[in-house]
Amino acid sequence: MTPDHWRRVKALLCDALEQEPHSREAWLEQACGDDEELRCEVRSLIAAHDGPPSFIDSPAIEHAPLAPLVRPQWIGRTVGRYRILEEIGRGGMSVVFRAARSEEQFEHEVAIKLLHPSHDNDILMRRFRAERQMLARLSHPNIAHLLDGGTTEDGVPYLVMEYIRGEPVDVYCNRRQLDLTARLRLFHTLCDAVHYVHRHLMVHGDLKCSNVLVNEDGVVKLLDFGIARLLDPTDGYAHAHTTRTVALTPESASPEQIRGEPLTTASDVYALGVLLYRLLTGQPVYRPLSDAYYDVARLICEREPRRPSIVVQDVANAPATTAQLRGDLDTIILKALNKDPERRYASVEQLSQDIAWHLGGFPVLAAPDSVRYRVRKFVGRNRTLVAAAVMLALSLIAGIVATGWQAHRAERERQRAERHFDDVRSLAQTFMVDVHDSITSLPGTLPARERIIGHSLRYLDALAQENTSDPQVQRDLARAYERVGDLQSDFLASNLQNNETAIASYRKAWELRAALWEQGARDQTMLRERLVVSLKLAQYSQSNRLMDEAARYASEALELASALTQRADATADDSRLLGTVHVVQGALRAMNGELDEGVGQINRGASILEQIIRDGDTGIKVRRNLAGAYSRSADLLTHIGGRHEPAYALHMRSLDIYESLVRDHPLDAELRKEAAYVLMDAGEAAAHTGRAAEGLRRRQEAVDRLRALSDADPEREELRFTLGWALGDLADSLKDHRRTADATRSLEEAQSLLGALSGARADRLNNTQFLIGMNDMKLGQLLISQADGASGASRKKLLLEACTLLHKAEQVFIAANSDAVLAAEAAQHLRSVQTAVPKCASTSS
Amino acid sequence: MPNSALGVTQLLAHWRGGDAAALPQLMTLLYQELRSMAHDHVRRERRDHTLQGTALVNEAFVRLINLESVSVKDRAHFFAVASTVMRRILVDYARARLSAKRGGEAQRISSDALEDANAHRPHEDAQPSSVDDDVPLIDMRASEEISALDNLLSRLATLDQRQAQVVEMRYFGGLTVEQTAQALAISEATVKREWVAARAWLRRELARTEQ
Repeated sequence: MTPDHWRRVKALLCDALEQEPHSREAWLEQACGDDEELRCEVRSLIAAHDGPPSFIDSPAIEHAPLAPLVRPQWIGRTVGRYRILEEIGRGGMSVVFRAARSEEQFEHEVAIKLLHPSHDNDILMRRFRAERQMLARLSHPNIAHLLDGGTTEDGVPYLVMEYIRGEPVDVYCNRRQLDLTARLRLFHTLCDAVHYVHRHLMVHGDLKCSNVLVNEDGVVKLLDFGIARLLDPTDGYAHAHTTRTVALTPESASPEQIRGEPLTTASDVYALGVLLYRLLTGQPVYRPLSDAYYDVARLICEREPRRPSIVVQDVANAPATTAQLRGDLDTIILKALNKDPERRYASVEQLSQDIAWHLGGFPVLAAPDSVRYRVRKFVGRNRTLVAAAVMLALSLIAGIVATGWQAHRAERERQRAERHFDDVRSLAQTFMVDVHDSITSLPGTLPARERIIGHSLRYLDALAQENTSDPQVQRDLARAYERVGDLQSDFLASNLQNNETAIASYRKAWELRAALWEQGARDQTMLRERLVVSLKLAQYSQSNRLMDEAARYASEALELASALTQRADATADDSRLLGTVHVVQGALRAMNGELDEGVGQINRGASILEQIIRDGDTGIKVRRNLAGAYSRSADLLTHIGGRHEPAYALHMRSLDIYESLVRDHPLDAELRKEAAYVLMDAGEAAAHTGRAAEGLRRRQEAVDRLRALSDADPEREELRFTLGWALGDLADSLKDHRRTADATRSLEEAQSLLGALSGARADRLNNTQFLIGMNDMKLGQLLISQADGASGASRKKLLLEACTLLHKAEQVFIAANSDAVLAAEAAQHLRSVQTAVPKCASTSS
Repeated sequence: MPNSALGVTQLLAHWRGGDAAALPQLMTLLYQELRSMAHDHVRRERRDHTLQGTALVNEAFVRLINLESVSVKDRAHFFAVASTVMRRILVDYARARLSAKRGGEAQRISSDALEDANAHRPHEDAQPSSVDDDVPLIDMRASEEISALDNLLSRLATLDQRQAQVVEMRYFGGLTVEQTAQALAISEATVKREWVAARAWLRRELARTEQ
């Protein structure tokens, strides 16, 4: 039968049943025409309809066999190396047995948790595996630890855990009639364990008395990570897709859990509050009228809990008195139980600290809501979130380093450690860098970035010391070092610091790759990776004035790039790298006194890049590289050769490329910054080639653009530095247009910007100080020209001021004379300062 | 209050929100929940014969869903999913009974699936008893019927999906005509017609398989 046919039969059947029984046959004859088969079909259905009722007439549950059948016989069986002794607990997805090592003479007892099959085994298996993985990360004296895991012969997955002969914490406290202090001490220990869990980026999600056991020695043990969740490091929430709350205990469920929001560490803080409430009052927080969902949910979400100190008034033999609870303990518990997660303790650590402080008789952190709280709540929600994510990231890194190496050392846990190693590796490659990238564009995250970098390096160094001989690991390590180097150089550039630490990271990557190369790893990828790191080393060594090293890395890069581009499988990107190498090496040669040869090589690089673009690759990388090549060569022609006309032409070409790049990628702040730089240079070149009006226009635009960028990201020193530079340039053009007052204003703004940068206070000469010196010189020259139009005392005062500024500038240029990059330019300035100084010195005296 | 009560409401909301992964999780949860309720139901019935068996899915609804805030759509989804899950539970039971009767190695595996899922409840009757003596004949008959009906219903679904759903809700879910109509967003008259036609077809097919 087909669906169509059945639809027809069904319609006929229903219509036939509406006919009087005696006329049905006749109706059917007519309706079916000569389709005998159809008529038979419908007729048999009518007969069934009219026939005796069958079991389907009453719902299945009324006659279905539902009494529980036999349960599986686990007792006495051997799972792994353990013999199962007795059942000690069960939950929705698993059953827990006490078991003992079979082959050992004295009994080593363990708890074995077996997953029981259910409707959807896949999901449960995944969660079971997740629990195992999470437990494997935890090693804490107050957390029941994982010993082993596997699958039985018939495919049932199991976990072997530390067996705790103990009782739930509330039962333990009551049976021993512990006093308030002893209860608080136990709770404090529990907090430490939970805090440890949070530091490993997990939330427990089901903290309650029955999951907190105390053994015969009085040691607290946290169990059951069956619904524990990994936090998403990017937002601090345990996420919906992989981490849904499937089961939880209503009494300890927080309002946000009731509302179906993802688990957070704040939910655990709440559950700890519920637990403490019970330990100290002997009562639950709420007593719902019924156990219906909405009754419980409404209480949790809407009703304020009664003060513990008041509750115990009506309780016989309460663990604590009203007087003991009033004040600090009331405040601590109610803060943990706040409906708004943001108004709870920010971390379990804080809660734990308050308990410790209370035990020691000190004032506690928790205080009733204040104005400060309300203000804080409205300040930078985003930034708080980012900071929280960063803190989580940091603690994850720190935590993995600590536990990772412990685990790694223990030989019997080798396998676990290897998995750990994978974790750390993937962290190096994706997580850390992702977090970093996601906050790079956010203002105000520099300190956090610095800490991320510091932590990353520490664990990479620890990894590198592990002496692993696996080449794949070595490759990964090299990549990780290179990325850390990227982060460092990026960070340092925006902070105007020198690149020594970045160079150190790149060098580690370089060394690892060189060793791999020696061992015979000479594939295309390795070639490319060696080339890239050599190129970066050449560039950063140069900006760090390590000219010899830079030259060495550059020639190595050229060798590698030539080898790479000669391969049959070379790509356009390989050619781009070759072009870039020529640009870098050319610039180095030009700075080393071979200006023409150097510029010639830059041109060779540029023509390779031009060819790539002609061949159809118009990607951002190659266009940016080409513009960089033009700018570089123009820069060298101007500042070393004083050849302004060809420099102007090159700057204009670079500017064209950048303007089109910014048009194509309007949201890329980095491109906008670079475009502003090029605009500055173009303005300078215009001014130097007699295009005064154009120079002023371009320089004013560069200032405007940089000011906008800097306003958007005020903590980025690099932008303020460049703005200070651009303002100094603008002053030149303003002076050319005889707008002396405007020029002075521009320079004064520049000096106040630059003076606030950290580089201005550094011991060693740097670009900031050089720029301040240049602006001092310009200001001094302006004052001299102003003095020309003045007379008497004011003239003398102007000249004296100019003299002071020029002397300051002179000192800077003398120091810069020994700087490999700045020397040529410094020498020019020094000459003009030294001609101006005697003039003002003689006339002002 | 059942351990997983809060989860059901959430999962329904997630599912309604377009999260496909929520459905299997919801079914897993309902499976455990409904199965343990079914056991309670059997236990209570031994004491008190006035309880209506049909109330099970309704009872689950009252226990698991916030009645005041649930939307009409969520309500419909709940009944549809719960009926499917009930079908699965009852069929699992029936099949396990049948294979238990047949004995042998199949018994241990299948009875795994029947394990009592009552959360956090220690077990009074932890030791297995001999299986063959334990299965009353009347249960065997019902088990065969339910198993056969399950097969037929799968066949019906290939002919008419919606009609098979009506049967699932009416027979396995124990829902009234009105509830079924709401859950499937069709008229009560349509439910009745589909039910009558399906019942005739099932009766006939059942008779054929018995012969």
